[in-house]
Parts: sequence; C-alpha cells; structure tokens
Amino acid sequence: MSISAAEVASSPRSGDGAHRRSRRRRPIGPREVLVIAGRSFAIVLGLLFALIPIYWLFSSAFKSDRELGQVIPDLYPKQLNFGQFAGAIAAPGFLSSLLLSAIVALVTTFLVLALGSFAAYAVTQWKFPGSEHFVLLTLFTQLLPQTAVIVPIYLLWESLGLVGSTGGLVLAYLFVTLPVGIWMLVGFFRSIPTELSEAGLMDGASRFRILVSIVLPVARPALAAVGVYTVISCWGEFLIALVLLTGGTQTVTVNLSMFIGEHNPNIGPLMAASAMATIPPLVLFFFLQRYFVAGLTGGAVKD
Amino acid sequence: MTSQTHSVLPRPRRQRKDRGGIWFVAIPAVVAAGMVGYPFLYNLWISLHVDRLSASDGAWVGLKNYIDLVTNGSLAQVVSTTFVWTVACLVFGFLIGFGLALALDRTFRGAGLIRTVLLAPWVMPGVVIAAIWLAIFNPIGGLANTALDAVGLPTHDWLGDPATALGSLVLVNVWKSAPFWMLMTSAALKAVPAETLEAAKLDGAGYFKRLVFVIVPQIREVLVLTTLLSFIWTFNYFDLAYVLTQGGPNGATTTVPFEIYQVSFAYFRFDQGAAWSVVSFLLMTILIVFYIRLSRRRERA
Amino acid sequence: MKQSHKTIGHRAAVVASLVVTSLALSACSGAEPSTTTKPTIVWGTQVSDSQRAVETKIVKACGVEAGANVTIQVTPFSNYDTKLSTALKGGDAPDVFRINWPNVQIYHNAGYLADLSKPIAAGTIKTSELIPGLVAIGTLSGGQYSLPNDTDGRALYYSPKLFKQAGIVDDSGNALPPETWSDLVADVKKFNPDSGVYGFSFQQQTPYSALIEAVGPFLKASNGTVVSGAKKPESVASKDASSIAAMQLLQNIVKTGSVPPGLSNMQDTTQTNLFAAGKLAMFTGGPWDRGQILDANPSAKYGVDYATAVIPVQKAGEASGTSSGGWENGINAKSKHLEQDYKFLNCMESPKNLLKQASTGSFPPLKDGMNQPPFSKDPFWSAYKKMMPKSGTALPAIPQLNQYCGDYQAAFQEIVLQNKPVKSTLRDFDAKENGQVLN
Repeated sequence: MSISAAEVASSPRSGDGAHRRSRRRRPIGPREVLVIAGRSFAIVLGLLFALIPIYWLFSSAFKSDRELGQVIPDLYPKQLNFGQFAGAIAAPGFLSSLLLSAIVALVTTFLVLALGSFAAYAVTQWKFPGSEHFVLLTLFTQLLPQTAVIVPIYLLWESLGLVGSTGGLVLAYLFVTLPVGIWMLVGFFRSIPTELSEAGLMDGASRFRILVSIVLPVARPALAAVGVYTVISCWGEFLIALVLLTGGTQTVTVNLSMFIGEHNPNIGPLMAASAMATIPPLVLFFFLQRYFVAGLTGGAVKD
Repeated sequence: MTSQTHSVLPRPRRQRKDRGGIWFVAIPAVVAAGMVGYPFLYNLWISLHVDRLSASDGAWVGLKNYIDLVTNGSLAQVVSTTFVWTVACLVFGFLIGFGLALALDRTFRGAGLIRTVLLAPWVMPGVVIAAIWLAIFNPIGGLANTALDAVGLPTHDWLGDPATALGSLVLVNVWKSAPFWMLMTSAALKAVPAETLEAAKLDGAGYFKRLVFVIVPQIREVLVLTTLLSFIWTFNYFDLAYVLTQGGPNGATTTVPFEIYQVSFAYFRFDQGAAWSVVSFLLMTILIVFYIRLSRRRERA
Repeated sequence: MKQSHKTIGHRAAVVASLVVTSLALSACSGAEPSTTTKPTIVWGTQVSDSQRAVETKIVKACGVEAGANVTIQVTPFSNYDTKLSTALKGGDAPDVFRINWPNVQIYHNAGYLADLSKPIAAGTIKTSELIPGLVAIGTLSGGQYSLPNDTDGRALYYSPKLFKQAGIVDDSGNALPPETWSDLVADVKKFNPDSGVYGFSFQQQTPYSALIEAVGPFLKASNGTVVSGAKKPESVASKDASSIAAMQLLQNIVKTGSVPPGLSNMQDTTQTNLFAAGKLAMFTGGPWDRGQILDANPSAKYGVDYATAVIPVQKAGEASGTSSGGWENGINAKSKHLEQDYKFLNCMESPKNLLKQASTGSFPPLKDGMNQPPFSKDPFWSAYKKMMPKSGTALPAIPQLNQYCGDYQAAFQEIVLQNKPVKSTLRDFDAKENGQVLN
C-alpha cells in the first residue's frame, strides 16, 4: 500500500480541526496522548523486566558470604561489600579471560563485517544467478545445534593443528557467525536502492570503491547491528571455547564456570565476576547507538 | 533504471568486475557448504555406527540408532516439547522486543542509555543467567516467591513442577532474547521512510492502523529474517534446560538439543546423539523450506 | 563524492595488515614452549579455585620429580567430561588426568587409558598404601587403569541445637541422632514445618543425586544393591529387599510432610543454607557441606550447631555404611612419554600428597588415612571413619551408569515425591533398564 506525493497533497487533513497550523505543528490530540502514555508505560515495564534480575546480580555481588547464605535473602546488601569483587579479580585467570574474550570478539567481528559486507554487497547489488541459493545455504549452517557440531569441529581443528590457539578459536567463531552476518547484511543491503551503485558505476568507480565509499556509509545501521550481534555472540559463546582452548587462558564464559566447582560454589565472586563481565559489551553497544539512530538513505537518491 | 549509454570502454571493465564478484561469494559459499556438509555428514556417519566409548566402536548398525530413538528415546515427546518451547519463546520475544523497539523509536534524551540497559539480558553469559534465575526461582526464599508472597499470591515450585517448569524457562529465554528482537526491529524501523508514515498520518490513520498497514509491511523483510533466525536459535538453545532443570522434572523441559547434549556427553552414547542431530537437522530443514515457500507466496500476493 | 585511489588503497592496506597482524599474534599465543630434553606433561583437572593453589604446588613438584615440565589444563567441573571425552576422541587429551569414578570403565572400554600394571609391578608406581577397595575401581580386564585420588562418603548431618529443642536427647541430655530407620522417621515427625523447621532433606541437584546422595547411603548401610553382576549387569532395584526398603523409607519421610518445599530440584546450597539458619534438622551430606554451612554461618560450632552421625541402619546393632564416590587419576594411553607419566603419577599418589589434597571436601584413599591429622583430631570425621569399612559406590561403574542414575532419579521422584507405589514403579524401572539401557 503506497501513497504518492500527489495523493498526500490532495487529501483532506484530519484532526480536531480546532486550528489549522502549518505542516510542522499539529495539536496533540487524545490519540497521541494515548500513544505517548503507551510508549512510556512500555518503556518502564521493559526496564523493570530487564533490570530486576540484573539488579539481583549486582546486589548479590555486593553482599557478604553470610548474606548470600541467608535462606530469605535481603533485597539489598546491608553495606556495599567489595570483597566479592576482590575475590573475583583475584580468581585465577579472570582478568586475562576478559582480555582474551575481547580480542577474540573484536577480531572475529571485524572479519565478519569485512567479509560479510563483501558477500552481501555482491549478492544484493549484483544479483547474479545463484545468489539466492547462497543466502539459503548460509541459513543451513545454523541448523545443527552446537553440541552436535563441537566434536566434528574439534576433530577437524585437531588435524589442522588449530586446537589450543587463539587464531583457531577466531576461525571457529568466524565459521559460526559469518553465515548469519552475511544473512543479516543481505537483508539490510536489499533495502539499499541499486541506484546508488549505478550512480557510482557511471562515475567510473570500481566495485570495491563503490562498496567502501558509497554503500558502507549508507549501511551503517546494518553494520552496527551485525557488529553488535557478532561481538555479543562471541563474548557469550561457551562450548567451542571450552573445547578448543587448552592453555591457561580461557574466555570469560569458561572462566565464569570455574567459580562453580563440584561442591561449595563460589557464588559471591561469581556474581561479582559476572557483573564485571557484562559491562564491556554494554559499553560497546552504548557507543554504537548513534549508528542506529542515523537515517538510512539521508536523501542520497532524489527521484 | 538508468540505461547504459556509455562507450565501449567501460563495458569490459564491468565484465571483469563481475567476475570478481563471483569470488566475493564463491569463497564463503564453499566454506559455508563445508560448514554445513561436514558436521552433518559426520553425524550421519556416526549415527549409522556404534560410538559409545566401547570396545565395539565403529561397527556398522544401520538404522538401529534411529529405531531406538523412536522406541526408547521418546522422540514424540521431546519434539513436541521443543516446538512448544520454540513457539512460545518466539511469540513473546517478538511481542516484547518489537513493542520496546516501537516505544523507543523516537529520539529523546536518554533513549540511547535506555536501549543499552535493555540490551543487558542478551549480553549476559549463560552460566550467569542460570545462577541468577536459579536464585530467583528458588522455592525457598527466591525473589519470585518472596514477591508473590508479599502481594498475597500463592507461591509455587516453579522449576520443580512439570506444569510450570517449561513456562519458567520460556520466561527466562524471553527475558534474554527480547533485546535481540528489539535490536533487529529497531534498525529496521529506521528504514521506514518518514514520508510514507507522514502520509498515512495525514490520511487519518491512527497509531495501530499505521503500525499494521505501513510499518509492518515495510519491515517485513527483517521480520521474516529475524523470525527464521530466532526460530533456529531458540530451537537449538539448551543452556537453560541444562543448568536450571537438567531436562526435568520428568522430562518436561527436555528439548532436542538438550537431549543431544545429555545423550552424547552425559551418557556417552555419541551414536544416539548423532541420530538425534540428524533428525533435528532434517526436521528443521523441512520446516524452513515450508516457511520460506509460505513467505514467498505471501510476498507475491 | 570521489576519493582518490591512493586513500582507498592506503586504507585497505592498513586494514589488511591489522588483520594479518592480529591473526598472527593470536595464532602465536597458543604455542607451547618446547624443550628438546624435557618433555611436557599436560595435567588435566577440574579442581575448584579454592583448591587450586594447593594442587598447583603439588603438580609442579611432581613434575620436577618426574623430570618434566608441567602444563596444567583446568576445566570447569560441570563440563569436565564434555571436554575430556572430546579431547580423547581427537587424540589430543592431557597426558595425566582426573577421571570421575563412574567413567573409568567406559574410558577403558574405549581404549583411552594406559595400563599401569607393569609400572606397579616394577615398583615405579607404589600402591601399597592405598585402600584395596578403591584401587579395585580401576582394576579392569586384568589390568590396572586408574588409581584413586580421593574418596568421600555421606553422613547424617544433624543439628544438636534443634534436637535438644525438640527433646530428642539421651539420658545425659545430649542430642541423640537416630540409630535406626524407624528412629529416623520418628525424629523427622517431631519437627513441625508450620513452626518453620523441617525434619529432613536430600538434594536433587544432579541426575546422580537420587541414587548416590539420597538412597545410596541407606542402601549401603543395609547391604542393598540395585545393579548386580559385573560381567552382565542386571537392574535388581525391585528385587533386592533393601533397595525396596530404602526407597520406602524415603517415601515415608516425605509423607510426614516435614520436608522443605521444592525437593524435586533441591540445590545443595539451599539445603545447607536452611540448615545453617536453623530451619532444617537433618540431611545426608558429604564433607564439603561443612564448608557451605560455615559460609552461611561462620560462627557455627561443631557439636552445637551441626554434627555428623553415621547413617541410620535398618536393624538396631548393625554396622553402618554409606555410598562413596571420589576421583581417580589416569594416564593417556597415547601419551608420548609414558615413563615420565608413571613417575609423575607415582608422586601424585604418594601418601603425603594425597593427604594434602584431601581434607576439605574428601578424604584420602589411604589405608591409614583417617588416622592422620586432620582426620584423626577433628571429631567431624569420626562418623565418616566409622562407616568406611562398609562404604562403597552405590552401584558398580557400568558403562551405562550415567543413564541408569538419571532414570533411577526419575523413578525416585515418582515414588518419593509423587507417592507412586514403590514396588510396581521399581519393577517398571527395572524392566526399562534391563530392556533398553543395560543390554
């Protein structure tokens, strides 16, 4: 259902009709108030829903062991106890696990964005035969659950000598996240009008340059979304990191599991470590926010 | 569409570049094919042999593992539990995530911070989510029961009662995955042309009419994509069942991926686990082909 | 908007070099230092953070004794077997590693474990101090495939304070823990959940909890068995009188109503938190539970707030026993330096080192172990010590052990928590196990 500019110009305006203002300012009718109230209500509910367990995490992180052992826990710690954080930082390998997870996540994301945008660009802007099937193929890489995949991956990596190295882990993560990255980028790139590339071609630019200087800037929200997804996937991945890393350094997810031994789980330090582990991806997302907010075409194509 | 009215010179260049495009796609395609084919073929192979850390590993057994799946493995129950789990998570995840994306669609001060905070559940590693929610659902002193008690509502053994165990896991997964829906639909909402929306507004369309007839069709592509991905991921997600309920009580939370994990790494019956994997793969393939055909048909309509 | 070739090419080059550098750096960080003279023993373990310092010291010292460098590979406990089995399948597992006792046989069946009988016979690995029953766990098909690292048991934890309040005392006014099963049920009834105190609890945290933690102690105390036959195991849970009686005991206990809510998913820490808060009178637990109680209540005193007693017996006057577990140490059959591995293992199995590693959550597998400090001095251990002669694993380490325990737990919950009839449910259980699982 599309509305052309001509129709817009000729249709009568609705509203309470009290005063006719210019196109910018319209009186806020009861419907709009409802919408705004609805929005605010939804946001507050959403925040509560998301935050209550997170609050629980942070309040537990500040409690003493004794408070954590209470049958009916208090809603908030009696005083801000930093002992659990000290315990978490002192835990073997925790800090280096943060570093390793960050490196692996960033390198993988960079590769996914680079390779993914090449592929997505080729599929959507060139539209050569077989591109549709390729996209479907990437979907199939996701069908097997991780538990079905770690043994074959391990065997293959072992024969390639990649077990135990960070590069091997990055490669494994790349294989797991690249197909989805391509798929998401294809979905977003499809909505980029081909006129942009055509215009670039007429200007005599190479495909690569078109991609980098014309398409990518316009696709920033897509890149941000896929980038965030990839970073978070890598940050939170457990099974592959468990199986492929053999040296002393672990990723964050594996290291967090170390706090829960066979008996006597170290709940306090686990909560503190988890609180600390949650922050880096959130900070990253916070800074990528603006790319979501920017408009998509921004008037690049005037028709 | 602009027409090519150039001289001869640019054309050869275009052909060369097009061939380069094949490489852009061919390499990932080959790799993707490998990544699909190799694990699938591996599991297929294993499922036709004995692989249970025994002396007779490697012996051929044909379809015995698959038959065992049906007779001993409660295939029907596990598959149906998985479907209920997946559909429930999808529906509620979409409703909440999309609702939040719509609510945050305006640029107001603090929107960025709110969006970041709302993303926090998705970012947390599985072991942490499990620890928190295990504490929340604890029938003695857990936040859930304490809150219900405070309001005078009856408390419950959320994870221990077969009737509520799966629902509790759905709640946790929706909590975790709604941000993903919010993320995807948020980015897509940005692509809805403002002119079309304004036109609809001027046309007299109320909020919900605009939502259903203008916004949703515009972001259809992304919705289909996110639904498909979410379906696959939710179907394959078993962390919660593993840590919160170990597939119980009475198998109420045993989904296909949990079964694969339990059978392979707890029971060491890798052959049966492989059979489950193959069945899971085929099942999902059928569903996806179905879904894609359906969405293609609707697209043409 | 045009950009010059130079900028694009320049940008691409910078980006490409960044990628290459980072990948190269990443790949390098996995390489391990190799020496031409000293081999590297990779030691695989699941030790928790609190024990790690002690173990690392011992491991390094044993490496020195074996004439090798040592790399330690730690895996979280709950995923230990996932990683170990995957690594063994790929042929890339550690050289010497821990094995949970149920899995020794299955790893041996797959051919992953090195036979230790030759070095033992030659005296390279000394085993004379080890408890024979525990060594027997690793004695399979005529060879020796693992050696015990530690062992444990479940005792009856009870609260002397609560017992005195409820009037369950002996003639001198001391708290009197139950001696027989009927004493146990009678005592449980004396605690009124309405007043906020439960009489008894058992944990259901893992799929093994029912057989090993809840029923197991009573099973062993009454000489019962659920799986008979080593060569061709058969599930006899519905045929063995003690097995039926132990199940009935627990059903009766739950029927009194004096048990905490949420038993079907009872976590070990919830149980100990309840106990530490004075809301639970008794539970069956291992030595590690003491640490959890003290975490929740640092001022808890043995003999006042908590105490351990032997597992109640079926008939008065019988000796008590309990179900035990523990970890084993094994050597990778594919290891490239077995000689050094033998020496390393011998050092790990020395009485001095075994004593150092046990003592918080388990006891050493030594004949004389419980007579050494701290076990000899601390009254906490006396109950465990008394039960040791009649302690053993609740079932033999059959290859299908994990699945058997999982299925047993389902049957257990049906009987004990949903009040289904004991004999017929166990009969169905036996039929399923014998027909589908144990064949």
